Parts: sequence; C-alpha cells; structure tokens
Amino acid sequence: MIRAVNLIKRFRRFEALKGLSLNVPDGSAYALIGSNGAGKTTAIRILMNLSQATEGTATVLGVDSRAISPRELCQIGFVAESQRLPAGLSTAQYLDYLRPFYGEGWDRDLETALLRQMRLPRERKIGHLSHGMRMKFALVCALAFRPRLLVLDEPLSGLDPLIRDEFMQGLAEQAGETTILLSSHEMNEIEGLVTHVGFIEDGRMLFEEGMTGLAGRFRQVCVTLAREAVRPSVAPAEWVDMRAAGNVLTFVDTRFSESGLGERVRAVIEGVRDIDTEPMALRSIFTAMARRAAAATGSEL
Amino acid sequence: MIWHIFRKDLRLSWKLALVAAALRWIEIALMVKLGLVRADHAVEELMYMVRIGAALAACLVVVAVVHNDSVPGATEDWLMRPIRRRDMLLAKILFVLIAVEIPSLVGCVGKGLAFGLGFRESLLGALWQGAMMSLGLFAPLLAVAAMTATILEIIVTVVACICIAVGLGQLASFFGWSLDNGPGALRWIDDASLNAGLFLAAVVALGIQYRWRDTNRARFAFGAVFAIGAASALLPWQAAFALQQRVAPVPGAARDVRLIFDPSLGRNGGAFVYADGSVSRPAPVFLPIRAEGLAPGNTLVADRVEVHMTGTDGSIQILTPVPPSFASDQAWQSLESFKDVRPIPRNKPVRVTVDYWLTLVKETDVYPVPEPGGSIRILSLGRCSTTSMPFGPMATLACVKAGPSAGCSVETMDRFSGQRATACSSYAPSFVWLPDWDEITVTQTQTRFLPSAAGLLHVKTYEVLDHFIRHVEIPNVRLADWEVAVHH
Repeated sequence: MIRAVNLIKRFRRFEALKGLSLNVPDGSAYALIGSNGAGKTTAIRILMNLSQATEGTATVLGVDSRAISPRELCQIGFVAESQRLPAGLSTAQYLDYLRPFYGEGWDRDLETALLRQMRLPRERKIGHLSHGMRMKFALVCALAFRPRLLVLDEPLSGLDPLIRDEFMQGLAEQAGETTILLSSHEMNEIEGLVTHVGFIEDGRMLFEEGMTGLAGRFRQVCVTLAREAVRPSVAPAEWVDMRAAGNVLTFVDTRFSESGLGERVRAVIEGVRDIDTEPMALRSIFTAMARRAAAATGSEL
Repeated sequence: MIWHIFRKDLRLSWKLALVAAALRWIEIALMVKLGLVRADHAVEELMYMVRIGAALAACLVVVAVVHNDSVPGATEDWLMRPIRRRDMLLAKILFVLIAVEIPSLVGCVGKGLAFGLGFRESLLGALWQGAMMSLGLFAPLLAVAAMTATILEIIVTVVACICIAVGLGQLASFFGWSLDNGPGALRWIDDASLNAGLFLAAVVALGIQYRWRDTNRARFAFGAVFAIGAASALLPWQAAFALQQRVAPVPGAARDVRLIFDPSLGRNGGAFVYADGSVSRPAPVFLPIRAEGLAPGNTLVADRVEVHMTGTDGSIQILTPVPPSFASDQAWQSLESFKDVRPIPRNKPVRVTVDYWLTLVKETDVYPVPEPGGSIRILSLGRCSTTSMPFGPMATLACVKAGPSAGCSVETMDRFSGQRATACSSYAPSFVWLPDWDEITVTQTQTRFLPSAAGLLHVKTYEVLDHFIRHVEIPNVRLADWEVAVHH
C-alpha cells in the first residue's frame, strides 16, 4: 500500500530524514512511532505529497507519491493534528462542500452515523469547535468516503482521555478494511488497533515489524540476585535499558527466546536466584528503545 | 467544481466583499457629487480617503479568498482532498471577477451615466478599466497571496517589490539615466514595463504554484520577472527615446522636417514685462527658430532641448532650457536654464548648437469652446462642458471620456496672443496599457479660462505621427541682439 525507499529530507543544513525506508502492507494498521523530532510528520508529509523529499522515492496506492492526483486522493483519508479546516463554515456546510468531490464514494449514512457517534453538532462553525471536536470532525471527513488508505498524523495529541476514547472507538469501528498509517505518542490508545509498528529515530527506521512478532521478541526480564545487583560491565547488545535496584536487575531483552534464557543470563550475571519474564506493552517497548537510542546519541530522552 | 468552490468562498468572504463593494460605490457617489470640476475640496479629500479604503478592501478580499485555501505549507485540508488545483485557481479568479470586479463595474457604469455618457460607452469604459485593474493589480495580488500564508508575508512581499522598484529608480537617478531627465512623456515606457513585469510575474508564479506547488521556486520566479520589468527604470532616456521612435504611429513622417535659426522672425516681444513695465535683468534671450518641411495641419511638440554654447575663448557651456512651444512653424528658444551656473556672455559672439527631441503631431479636429453651461462632444476627449468656477473669474472646460485615453491626448487652445500651448500628457502607444484605479474609466480633462473668452476660443485635437531629433547650428551669434523686445 505504501512503500518508501531511502527517503532523505534536508531543511538547509538540517537533515530531518536520513535514508528512511518503510513498507506499509495492504490491510495493515501501521503505527509510525518515535520520539519528538524523529521525523514522523516529515515522512508522512512526503508520502502524502505535501512536501518533497530531497532524495529517495515513495509509492502510495501504487503511484509515485509525487504524482498523487485527485484520483488517488479520492481513496485517501487524512487527519493531522495541525490540519487547517475552514473556520468560517459550519460542520454541515463543510460536509456539503466536500461531498461532491467524492461523488458516489461518499457514504451519507456513514457520515450521519459518525457524526452521531462522535457527538458532533451539525450547525456549529468549525472555528468554534474545541480542538478535540475538530479532530473528531476531521476524522468524520476522512472516513465518510470509506477510504482505502487512512493516514493519521498525531491525531491524539492534545485530546483529553474521553475524546481519545471516542476518537479511537470511531476509528476502530469504522475503519473496516482500510489500511491505516498513523503516527502517535499515545501507545496505550493505539496498541489495540495496530498490526505493524515502525520505530523511527533521528530520521532513520530502527526497525519495523508486525505486532505479533514484536510482542514475542520483547520481554521485560527481572533477575533476582543473592547479593546487591550491579550492572554487568559486559552484556549482550540485545539487552537494553538495564537497571539495578537492591538485589534486582531488570532489562529489556529485544531478542527474547524462552529456551536457554537462564543459561544466557547466568553466563553474564553471577549469583542469580530467580528469573522472571513479562510481555511488554508497546509503550514500554517504545520507551526502552527510545532510551537506548538516546544513550547511543548521548542525548537526553 | 469551479462554481462549487466559488460558492464556498462566497459563503466565507461575502461580508468582506460587500464592504469593499460599498466603499467603491461610496467613492463613485462622491465622485459624481464632485462633478467634473471638482471644486469642493472637502468632498474631494473625503473621496480620496474612501478611494484608499476601497482599494485596500478590494485587495484584502483578493488575499482573503486565496488564503481560504492557502497553497504554501502542508496543513491545509484542501491539499488532501480530490480537488484539482487548476479548478481551485479558476475558482479564485472567478471570485475576483464576480465579487470584486462586477460591483466595481456596476458603479463605473453608473458613474459614466451620471456624467452624461451613453450606456454602451460607459459599459465599454468600465470593462476596459476592469480589465486593466485585473491585469495590473489583482493578478499580481493573486500571485502574491498564492505564495504566502499570512498577511504579514503579503506585506513583506509588497514592501520588497516597492523597494526593488524604488531602489532601481533611485539608482537610475543617481546615474542620471532616469526617464524624468529625458524628453517629456517617456514615463509610459517605465510604467508599462513595470506593469508588464508584474503581470508576467503573476502568470509565472501562479502557474508554478498551482501546477507544482513549489513556493520557493514561485517566489524566485516572481521576484526575477518583476525585477526584469522594474529594471526598465535603468533604461537610459536616450535608449527609451529610441524605443519611442520605433513605436511611433508613422515612423519617418518627420523625415523632411528641418529646424533653422531664422533671424527674419525678429525678436520675441512683450511677454516678459512686469506689471510696472520693468523687465527682469538680465533680460531673457530668445532665439528665433523656424521649422521647414511641415505638411499643412502639422505642428511640432518640443520634448527636450539641449544647448551647447562655445565662446571665443573655447569655453563650452551646456544648457537644458525649457522646450519652446511651436506656433505653427515657429518658436522662440529661451536660453533660461535651471542649471545655469555661469552668466551667459551676451556681447561677445558665441557659437550655439541646439539639439531638439521633437514630436510631430497632426491636427485632427477643431471645436469651438461653448459658453458656460454649454457642452460639446469632442472625439478624443469625450463629452466636454464649460462651467463657471464657484469662486474667482475663471471658467473651465472639463471633458469626460469612457475607456482608454487617446495615445496622445493633445489639447490646444488658441489664446488671444495667437500662441498655442501644445502639450502631450502621454505618448503611450495604443497597445500599451497603464492600469489606473479610476481615470481610465472616465478621463477628465480640464482647461481654465476667462468666461468672456469662451466664444473666442476653440479646442484643437492632434494625433501623434512621429518622434525625431533635430540639430540647429548657429555659428556666430551675439545673444544681446536677441534679448526680449519690450513693448510698453
């Protein structure tokens, strides 16, 4: 559905993307996650032809992203935190305005259902809507024509928990077969929705993987020692975010395998009394990987 | 979808468009109230203030409607909708035509009718004015708005354009190239080039923005094309005059015209005597000049004069005196020059050479000036009427004409003395357009005179034939012999 190869984007001397590649499979819900300034929004803007890459290529719905035309845009729903909607029109007026551009593709029943579900007023001016309501309205405008591809750039930023729930519920219920690409910091909210994750850091894709593989690969490992825990001077590269507290040493195993874990831990750490492993939430995986990336570049997270 | 987008824009911007239209109509109403003579200065001041407001409001409407769907940046919702950018551009142009141009056009037609012009004439004039405004002002403004996202950016762009134009003008003045230093009425070349540059810059920038949405490239192209147009300010006036010669209506028509120093014309007399009978000292010097080879009905307009005087001691003095008025085939060349720094040797013989930059004009019509209250239709000036001024002894002949002014609107009024003051306000050829907020729709011409003279005066109109340069050589002349003759 979306494929990007070696995208580079320079803003004068600053390089925002440093050879980013990604692949969003058909029918997937792909989360592009990364810390602030990692390049998520820049990447999405290039994919949507809102901005031009300095180097590299991308295809969206099978066409070069630089050649996206109204034919493709009829099949793409887009919601961004910074999206500017016409403040002087009411929600109903704007929907009336949008409908003819999509022709038969616009589903009025779905539009009505979404407005009701999102509890959006029909006659209020868009400029008088709160930020949360505006984002929900943008989602209605992006879903009502049943797009093949839905792109969401930080859609949950600045929304209160109730609105987030409504937004995510509307998205989950109505997305159907739609392929979704979204960038977000809100891991807890998106975890139940996404099927694939791409972790972007400092303009590069650190890894991209299906959620099933990711959940199986990452484990929080908790090692209880017979003595005061000390971080070992040498540890496997796949053990990240290592911490010592009392007689407990914790770390994230990024190449987790049940078999042989005990032997591998004991080979590095002496005096092991007990080893516990726990599956990790997407948020924890993100945090651990972000800490490792920050440590590698010497910056603070 | 063009009409669909237009309706959305109308919904968003109708209030602003209404304010702009109302201000334009108020301005026009004040203009009609002022009449052709414009004697009420308070109303005139108010009209100019409203005009500025109407112009700003119209510009604001154009900017607002483009910014409803801003092109630069990446946050506008419409950019992710299946909307053709060509349709978007055409919808914006349609909005400017319907919401800005049509109200102005209606007002202009009303103004023409109020001034006594026919409907067809008023409509054609209003259409012409609307076209000029669209090309010279609204198109560039559309482009600037399409390359910006905020009013601040617009202001910066407009200020930058003004700085380029003024800066180049200052540079030209510094080097003495300014068209103002050259023969009169060359300014149209600069104006037309600047306006053509603006329009072309607008077309290029709009094309780039709505085709490729490349704001940086559009801004660069706009600036470059505009700067090329504005660079005409650096055109030396000699080159501008040569250009003017090439676009003359009848190039070569002045081929047989020669100018000679003709002592048989005698001294110029009487015109420079003060009320007490005294004459300024030193008395003005006038050299008699005769034009030969003029066809019947033709006369000359001197645009610029340069005099070189070489004394017996070899000293050279260069003067640029005021060009003389040719009465049929003769003129008296003054040697008064604002740039005189040394007294002219009057009693010693000097060698004088005079260079003339001239325009050959042909008389087209003669019209009697009506008595106060009367009116007359003059082909190139429009409907003219004589009105007594509300204060003072003067009357005025004011003319109103819809549509573009004549390439050269020469007005000549025979005076009691028999001398004629022939002047061209502009030599712009008919294919050159010079946008103006108002005066193109209703061209007003005013000439003041004593009411009692009305029956003795007539208006002659001329058309331009050719522009040319002539050289007059006077090998040996004593200037004291040509001091003005005093007749008490």
